[in-house]
Amino acid sequence: MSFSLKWENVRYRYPGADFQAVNGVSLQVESGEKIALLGSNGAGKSTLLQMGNGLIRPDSGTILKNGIPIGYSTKKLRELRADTGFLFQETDAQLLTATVEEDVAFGPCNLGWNREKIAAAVENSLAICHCSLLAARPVHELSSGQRKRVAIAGVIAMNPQIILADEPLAHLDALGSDAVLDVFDTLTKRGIGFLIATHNLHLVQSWFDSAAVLHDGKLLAFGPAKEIAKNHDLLSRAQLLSRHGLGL
Amino acid sequence: MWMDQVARRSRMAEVEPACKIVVALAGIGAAWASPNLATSVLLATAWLLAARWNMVRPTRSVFFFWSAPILFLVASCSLVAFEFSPSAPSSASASFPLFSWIAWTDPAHIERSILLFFRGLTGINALFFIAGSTPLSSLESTLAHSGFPAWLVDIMASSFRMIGVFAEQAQARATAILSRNGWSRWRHSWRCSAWWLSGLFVGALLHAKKSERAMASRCGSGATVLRWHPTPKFSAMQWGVATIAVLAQWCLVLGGNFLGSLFAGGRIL
Repeated sequence: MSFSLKWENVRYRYPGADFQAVNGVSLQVESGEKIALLGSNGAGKSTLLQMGNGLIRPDSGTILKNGIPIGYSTKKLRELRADTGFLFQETDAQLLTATVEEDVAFGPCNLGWNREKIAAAVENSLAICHCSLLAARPVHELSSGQRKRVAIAGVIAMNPQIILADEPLAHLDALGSDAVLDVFDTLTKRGIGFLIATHNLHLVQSWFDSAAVLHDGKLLAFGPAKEIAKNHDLLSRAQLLSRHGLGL
Repeated sequence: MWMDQVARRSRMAEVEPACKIVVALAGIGAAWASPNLATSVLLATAWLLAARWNMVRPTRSVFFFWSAPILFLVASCSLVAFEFSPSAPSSASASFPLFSWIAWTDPAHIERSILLFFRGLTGINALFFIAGSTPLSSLESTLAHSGFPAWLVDIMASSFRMIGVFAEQAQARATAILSRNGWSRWRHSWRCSAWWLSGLFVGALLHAKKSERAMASRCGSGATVLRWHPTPKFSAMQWGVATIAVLAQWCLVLGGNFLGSLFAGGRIL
């Protein structure tokens, strides 16, 4: 059965802020889809992603899971978070425990799985992320690329339907980025959907199916990734093209 | 962290941690039961040699790790060696004024503090042996399956992770200050230290907030994460070696007792 997560006309203003971080955005992501969330700094990408995981509750509008509005009770949030994995931009904050395998087991333990199921999920996730050899290593001994892959393993161990990732390739070199994208490719083949916040227009063109462009909390455009990435007017309006030739 | 790296490549890294813990605890017990200085010195030396033998190419920082609790031990033993009173008794072998009080000592105090030092040193060396031969992940797993409260082991694991984060933050901030010539003039270096400390404090708070959010995103409920580890299995040989080591230490204590009562009225110095 296909899984869908939909943001319907959501708005959010941070306490004390005099502008809307997200202003009437509607967007949908389904299993197996790869959607890029493009936008300049402060466009509202991270806020929108966090709403999808229940970390931020919109001031107005609705988040729908499989067409049903999500609830914010502890039980409902646990169900939502089991289905929507969240990958933070700052990996250091995401890795919580002393060793790699413990960190990967963190989510499954919270879901109340039995020991055998947790052990299998840990082993499987580490294998997908090519981190099996790192299992017993302390987290702070890992490189940035390895940390990122361990963070992904921690997310996929919970068996999510959709992964919401906040600039997952930030601070990674080409080799590290390739390793992360290889893992994402494997997961896409398994039917996991992706909504990824990024500034990288090359990546949008080459890897994503569709792209949404955010600017000042509003959705400027949504369409096929290749078309969006070639639309220089749109990208300029969203402040994604630099005067110095950066961007595309 | 370097101690964990040393533990992972140590000669006894593959030995079941429970056996090592049993032997080390027996060593600490034997040290406290040892009746005289000679037995205590022997036990402390044996544990230090065992810890050193076990490590493969240890770095100098490993011995800083070892020396930190020893400084604490020396300070504690000094308190035992000296008595503080308004005036020193005539039997005092040494005394010196301390503000309006007198710190004084005599041979009995010194003997007691030296014995205490070597007993404490045996304990430190035995724990140093465990730290240098048991990677943290194995230690946690063993403790969690030995009836240790899981939440306590969990706190230990989280602390270990956060020490790593803290050390990285401290290093990064110190480098940032040094790169802009901070700490180069002693008159202003206190200000750099204050920035460094306050930055670390604020950084720790921000990090805690982010970690809390990351926990929530993975359904963080306060459940302990160690319960899923497979239960460790001990081979007969591992238990055999552990038993022999425990017996050897207690033979040393009993032998020391016997020789002490035979030759020196209970004391070998």
